[in-house]
Amino acid sequence: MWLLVRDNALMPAVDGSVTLAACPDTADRGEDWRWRVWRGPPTASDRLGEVFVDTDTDYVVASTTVVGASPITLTRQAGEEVVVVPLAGHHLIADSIGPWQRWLHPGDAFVLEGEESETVNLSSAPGPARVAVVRLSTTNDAPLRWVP
Amino acid sequence: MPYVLNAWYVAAWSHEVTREPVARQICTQPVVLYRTKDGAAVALADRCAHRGYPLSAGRLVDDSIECGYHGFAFGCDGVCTRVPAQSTIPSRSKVRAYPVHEKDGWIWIWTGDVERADVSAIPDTHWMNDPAWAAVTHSYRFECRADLVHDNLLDLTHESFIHRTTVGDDYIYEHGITVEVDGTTVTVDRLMPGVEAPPLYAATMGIEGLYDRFHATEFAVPSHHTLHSGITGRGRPREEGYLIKVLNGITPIDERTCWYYYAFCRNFGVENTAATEDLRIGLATVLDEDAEALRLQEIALSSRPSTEHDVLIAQDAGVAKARRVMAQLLAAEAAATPTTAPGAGETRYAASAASSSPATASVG
Repeated sequence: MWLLVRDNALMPAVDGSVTLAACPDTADRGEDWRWRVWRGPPTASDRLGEVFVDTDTDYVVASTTVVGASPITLTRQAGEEVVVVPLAGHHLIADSIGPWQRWLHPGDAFVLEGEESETVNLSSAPGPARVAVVRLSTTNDAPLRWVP
Repeated sequence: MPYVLNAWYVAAWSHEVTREPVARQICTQPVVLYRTKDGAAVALADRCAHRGYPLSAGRLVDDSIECGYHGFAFGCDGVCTRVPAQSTIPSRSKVRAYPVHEKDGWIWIWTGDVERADVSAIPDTHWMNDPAWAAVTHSYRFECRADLVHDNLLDLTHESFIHRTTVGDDYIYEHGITVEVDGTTVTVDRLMPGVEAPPLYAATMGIEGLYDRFHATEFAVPSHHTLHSGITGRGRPREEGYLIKVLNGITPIDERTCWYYYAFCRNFGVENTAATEDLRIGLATVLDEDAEALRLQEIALSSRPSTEHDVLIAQDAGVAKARRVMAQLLAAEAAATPTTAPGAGETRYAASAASSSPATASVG
């Protein structure tokens, strides 16, 4: 399952922070909390705010890399969840085996998850470009599935 | 159960609204629909300002509707035009007039703040009225809350089970989805490469073998889904294929029932009237299957304790995101603190309510 949430659909909290993606996506149904990728409130130097990752460290291992303008092939391992967060510039994310592709912009969030591995291609428009790629997996090798 | 009121809902098919008043209930609001002598659609509150009798039980006199109880008459703007046996019309004698817009065979009604009614927000439905497409239409009164229909349309894996003999196939469940949330629109897209066409469509398409099948449900929260569906050659662009646009206008009646306005539009076999009839019958079967399933779900949910919740999985991402958008719209309307103007039954919002300036004359 892939999930693309545009900036205009993300609601800031009272303190100005914004949850970009989370598992579960809501606390309303009482699911076990696993992780959250979020932005801090906007600052004078960063209109969108800094990006943070919170996890249940007993269950989830997270790693974050920031990539630049070069085209990259992004492979998600089976059972892993990946959150792509544009930080600067505009980025084209494309299915490596199908026609689907979308432009991602700062403020958007893109989640990939599933029990089979898959590959997408990520390339950037000319100009400054930075993308955070957050990888999340379980500590026990069980598939980490996204919960709405 | 609250409803998103600042929205366009399908109120009726164009052919249903004539010079005979017709009653509808929309988001619990009783509405009477009729046409003026010039053919314009009118929607008024279906409750006479005089003593509350349903105006739909009255008759049309020119462009006014006359109450069948004591003869008060109201124009298409809701203002009283006649009170029997007196020339003075009480200033409070008016009923709510709803903005309406007629397009492609549907009459849309705006149930919220009149000043926010923008016809450009009405979804594209031109396929119903385009000679390059053939349409099969149905309308149903579903015995379930509108939310269950929204869930149903956003999670088409139910086709593998509920519609096994018509549009379903086991492979639907096996293909992943891509969910997009953009503003208040939620789209769930599924591409099924290298599969057979569903039995209901294959004969009309006149095809055999393996194709790329796709369906993308685009939900303009809170009232309308466009299902962009079809079959195309393997690896070929979707727009080259046999295309289907299924338009779904979902209009709440009350907390347990809703109207379902349905149009299945196809760009293949457009002149094939036999195929159209076969599809009309086959799609009625599909809708009957949905109606029965959701009726049963409504009954089951009615006894569910409030502490129990759906166990949603990744496949339900579109369902969950649409519920979130709906909740946000409802919260925004609740925050606007609606007030009800006496007499007219018209909802106004504090932010836009005109202030009154009573004149005070001094005495003595």
